[in-house]
Amino acid sequence: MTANGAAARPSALQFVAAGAPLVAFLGSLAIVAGWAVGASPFWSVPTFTLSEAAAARDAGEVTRLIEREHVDPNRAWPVRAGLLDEVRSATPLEAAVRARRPEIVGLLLRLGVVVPDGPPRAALICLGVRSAADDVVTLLLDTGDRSDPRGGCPARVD
Amino acid sequence: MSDASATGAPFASRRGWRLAAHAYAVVVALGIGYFIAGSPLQVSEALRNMMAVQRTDLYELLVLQFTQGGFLRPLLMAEIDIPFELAQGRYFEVFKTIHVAQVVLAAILFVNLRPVRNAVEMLAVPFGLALLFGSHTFAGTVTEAFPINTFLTIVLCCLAAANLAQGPPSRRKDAAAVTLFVVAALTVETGLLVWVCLAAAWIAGFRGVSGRALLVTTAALAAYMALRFGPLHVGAPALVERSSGFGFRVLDPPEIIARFGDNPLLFYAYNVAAQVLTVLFAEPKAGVWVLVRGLSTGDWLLRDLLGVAATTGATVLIGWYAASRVPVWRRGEVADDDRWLFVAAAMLAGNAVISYPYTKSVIVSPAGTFHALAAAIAFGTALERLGRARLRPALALAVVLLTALSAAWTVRLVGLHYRLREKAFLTRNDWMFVTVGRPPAEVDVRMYPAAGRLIEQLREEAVSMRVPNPVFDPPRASRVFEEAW
Repeated sequence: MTANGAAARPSALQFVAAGAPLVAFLGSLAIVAGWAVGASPFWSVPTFTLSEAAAARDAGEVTRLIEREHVDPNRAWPVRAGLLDEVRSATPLEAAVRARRPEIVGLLLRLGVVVPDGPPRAALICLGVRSAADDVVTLLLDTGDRSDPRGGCPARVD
Repeated sequence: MSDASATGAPFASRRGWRLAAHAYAVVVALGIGYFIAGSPLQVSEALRNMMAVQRTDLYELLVLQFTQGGFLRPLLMAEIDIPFELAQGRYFEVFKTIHVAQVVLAAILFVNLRPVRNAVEMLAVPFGLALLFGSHTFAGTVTEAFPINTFLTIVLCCLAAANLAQGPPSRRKDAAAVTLFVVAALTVETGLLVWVCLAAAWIAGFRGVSGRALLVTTAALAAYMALRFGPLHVGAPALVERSSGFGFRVLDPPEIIARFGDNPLLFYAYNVAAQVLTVLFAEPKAGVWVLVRGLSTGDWLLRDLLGVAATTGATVLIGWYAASRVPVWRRGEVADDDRWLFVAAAMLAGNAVISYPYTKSVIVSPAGTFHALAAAIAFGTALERLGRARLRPALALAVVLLTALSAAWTVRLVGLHYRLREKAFLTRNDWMFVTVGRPPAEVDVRMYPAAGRLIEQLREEAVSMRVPNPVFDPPRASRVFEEAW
């Protein structure tokens, strides 16, 4: 316990030793102030295209964009740099296959995404094979005419 | 009230510092609450519990909970049922408000245990709160909700018991202490720690709760044990109930039975020891030696090293404080701070013993809370000594160590916010995969159409809630900020 009034005034050393949590407090203060006025500090929500949401395994955004915003889930959408390597545009299904996200592929299928018949389906399955996304391939094989085009896929280059 | 003060500070000033400490605590707690409120209601357990209280009336719930094997938690579902009924459909708002209010109350009750009479004592408050909220034992009380976090309820009950124990006695305090114990004990097994807190505080010399009230509470504890192991046949949890960490990994119930079925004592002893060690050293976590495993394979993470270093540093600081007090104790002088140290030790022992069936960091959240209190006391004493000492190498080293310690705990505190933000993303995603009729939404909606509407409402709310995607966070963040174990 502090023994006298003089010692109750903190020294620079005491401030240095105890100061770190005060920095975090400034963050808390900003959060609470922002919260009070309806701002959202430290809660930046980026605007996604449907394909970006699929690539970033953002099931919530995938669902919101399809169910609420009625975004067309069967066409190609832009993809920002870095999410799918060099790919800049992809359908949501293609993005999920490239990102090896079976749960997103399943979700897209449940939300009404159509796997195109014929060569586009085979291309999608071959993309899954190339991406070593076995779970994704299993899901895709269960769509359309249920044929297995894997024998015709180009050899995987590792 | 007298202005005479050990600090020499006038009463108004002392009151000002105390208010400042509480205001600080509220802001820090609300900062955490902001991230709790940003997340949809949890799917697993929360949805199941909400569906259970929706289709069962309160009386039936109480009877059911009294007759299940392994656990005796009759008030647990009642505490969910009452706000559920009062919510009138506004479940998210009600349960999130309760969760945030609980965090704020925990901060207030924690700060209330410290005398804050001047600026130096105030400087120890941020450190204490960083320990309280930044500890891996606390994380599970805010990253999870069922939809009320029972572990946080028990942390609150223990803090409330400690608050009752200090100061002058009164009949109202006695009645509150007994009620608190009964409610906590019938909510979840760790609620029995309220008795440990009250008894340890009384033995240590706190007289806020009278010996008579402690006797009544002890009789209630005896009645609980007699009922549990007698007519109710609840017994203790079996080995098949939960997965649990052992060594370098988590064992599933069949593995636990295969290894310890014939001799569970070894397993229980490991769990008790692991729970003590995790509070004092942050290793093992939930029974798993995460850092040791990482160091042995070369695949260790900074977050695990930071957690162990910060927690061990706090424990060493407590040890230093205790050692520095030994000469005073030998003279028969005991201060309130010393008494809290004793209570913290008792809580650690009691909490570890009570979690013998399986290990999980959040189970020892009450012990973690009192570890934070003890560390805050030690830190405050160290700070006060810094102010009196002349500059010399030992002092410089002390400043460096205390600065490093408070900085490490600040990172852990910030890490809690990061994990809550990540949890919001994961929880929202979970809702997108909920299928009626399958776990955790296994309900026949033709028989219980209201359950179907509840699931749909909560899912719709989750779809509407925009949450940040961690894919855009700095890649190193998850290596620095700890996961909840």
